[in-house]
Amino acid sequence: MIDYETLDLLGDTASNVFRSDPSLQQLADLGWLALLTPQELGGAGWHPQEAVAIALASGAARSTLPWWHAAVAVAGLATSPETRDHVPEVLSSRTSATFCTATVAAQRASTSTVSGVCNGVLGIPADIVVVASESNDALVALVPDGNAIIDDDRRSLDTTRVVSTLELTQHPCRFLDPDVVSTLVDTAQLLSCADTIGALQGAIQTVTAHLADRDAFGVPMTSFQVLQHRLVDLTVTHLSGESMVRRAAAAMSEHDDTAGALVDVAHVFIQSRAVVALDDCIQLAGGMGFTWEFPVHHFLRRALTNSHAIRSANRSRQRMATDRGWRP
Amino acid sequence: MTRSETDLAEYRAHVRRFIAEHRPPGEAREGHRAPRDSSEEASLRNWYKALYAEQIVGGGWPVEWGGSADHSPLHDVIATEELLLARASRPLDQVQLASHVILQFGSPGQKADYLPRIRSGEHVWCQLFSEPGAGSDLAGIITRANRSDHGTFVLRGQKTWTTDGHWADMGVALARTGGDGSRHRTLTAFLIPMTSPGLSVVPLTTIGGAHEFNEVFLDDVVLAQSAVLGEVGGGWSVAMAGLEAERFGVGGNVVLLNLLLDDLVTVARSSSTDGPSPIENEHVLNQIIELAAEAEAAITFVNDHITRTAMGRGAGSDAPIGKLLYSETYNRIARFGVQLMAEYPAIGADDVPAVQRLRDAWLWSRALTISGGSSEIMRNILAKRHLGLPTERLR
Repeated sequence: MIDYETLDLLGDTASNVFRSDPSLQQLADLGWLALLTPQELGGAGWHPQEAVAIALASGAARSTLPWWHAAVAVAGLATSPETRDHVPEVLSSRTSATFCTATVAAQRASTSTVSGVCNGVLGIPADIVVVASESNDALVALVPDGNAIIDDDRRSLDTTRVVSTLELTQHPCRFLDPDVVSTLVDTAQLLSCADTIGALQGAIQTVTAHLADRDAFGVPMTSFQVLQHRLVDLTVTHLSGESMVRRAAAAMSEHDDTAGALVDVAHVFIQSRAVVALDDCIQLAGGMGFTWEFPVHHFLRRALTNSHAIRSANRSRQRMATDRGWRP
Repeated sequence: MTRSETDLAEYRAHVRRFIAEHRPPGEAREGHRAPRDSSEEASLRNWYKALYAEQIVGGGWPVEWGGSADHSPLHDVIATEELLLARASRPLDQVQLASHVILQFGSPGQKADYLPRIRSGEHVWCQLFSEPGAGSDLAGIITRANRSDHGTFVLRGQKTWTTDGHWADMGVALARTGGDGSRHRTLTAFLIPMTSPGLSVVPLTTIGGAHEFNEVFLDDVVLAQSAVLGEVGGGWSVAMAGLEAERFGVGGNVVLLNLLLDDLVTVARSSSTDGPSPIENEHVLNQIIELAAEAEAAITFVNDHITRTAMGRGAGSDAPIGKLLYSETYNRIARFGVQLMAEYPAIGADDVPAVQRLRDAWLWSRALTISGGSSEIMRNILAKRHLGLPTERLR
């Protein structure tokens, strides 16, 4: 059962917090890095719905903080006795941590090392990078430093966060329960989708306010029906996407078997439509939308990163087709 | 599972059993809901009577009028879903609209006269709102209701798109009664017997070839003061209350989207004599996946709205969004199915029901995006209500 009142209140609080340009330490003090970590290890328990409510707000505020990447990373560290010692340090933000996936090039070189490239990595530099791969028998690599090559992701258009690539060569790794790794990746994917929906909401609000302020042909631009209908279509995309991430989070919080499939369908729906909707926001803002100072392009760039940072949409589509038995 | 979830699961099982045991013969067909002969009509009226008697329909009415004391709006959602999943005939939207406004605006006498006869299946209702010159702009209707010296009202005008008008017993009509004030404040709602002298019904055939709606001519139809629903000049509130209920009801049918998708996949999987089945084409598969994602978005939003409403946290703009999502996704799935059949002419022959349902749904889909307030009107409403945007100035 979704507690709408509590989640709505948390969303409002998070919006206010992100407007004040907080530090990661402040978010840690609020307990937001601990939302996915068991209580017995110092976390707040399993709260994906609350994490989604905050991710929606961080996307709308274009927050530069990789807070949810840290929250997923520490949840990953908590799954193994060999890495649990890091948990208190990350929860207090004395040690920085981030999370990424190696979905394309991860190779099992032996039973305990991994080689491959991770693209779209956020939260670098970090003291700890937790790398998860679903495609190689579910492994997690803990990358403290040393034999990993980190570089800027040259494909990235993101202006709100640093996006990196990570190249691992025979890096030590450990194999975990595939279900554990799958849940970590699903959670990260869900929060990435929530961030995108937040970004779309931020862009719609920005464009609507801009058009309401401007007159053309002697009337406010928001009085033109053609613009109204396009703004409504963007809003419908935003609200339906928000419903989808909230529903997937509710299933995840109850450890429902359908949670992974709900994350996939949310990703398929959101990634293609949100990027198109944000592109439309630039068009609706007219000449101003084309300038660097008008903030909508930052939302668009952010959503584009989110669209592939965890899983590609193509991968989510394949998972959907397999889950529904549609792939011959 | 919580207690309430257990209760709802039990209720669903009960409804499913009831439908299986009492449903009229045959599969309900989209866009072909009205009975074709007196035998079908009798069967449908008995079916409605049974649904009301079991409180599967009308459970939310006040207890004194036959409702259930422990009714939840979620019961209505379950009933709709089960009727759709069973492909059984659904209760008529127009009857539900009429009961909704009679319960909200009716006098004690009107409630006593009409509500029991809805529950017994004796009365089928229709809605006499739209006119040839006033559909989306409903406040522009010109049918007049002039007050005579005897205190009666004399109605003169033409109504159109009157669903079920050819077999309805009663109608809720909107007419202009005049007086000072805006065009919204000079409208009055009437309860009108469809057998009234001066009232004539002319069929309109849908693009699916069905007789579902009609034109209705009102040539000096005389109604007593007691036929006024609500207050004289209060017709706009009645119409809006009815349309809101209708919009929500349309959105509540989202379970149909999954049934349509099943039909689409069945057709896409069927063998083709000139090559592999369409679903083996990656482009076709991706389009089906995108439509499935759209359907999930509509279903999720509407279910979320229903849950929020049940908890007293619903937003006024949710019903138009639900209608837009449902009706436009319905159209897109059905259209893609029909396009697929055109592009791969050899497919679909091995599952005739799925082929027929997709064709029916596509032809019927525009009823969903046009009636009860078109998609464009929904966008106007959302621009005002949700985004707070100003009305476009007409020059």
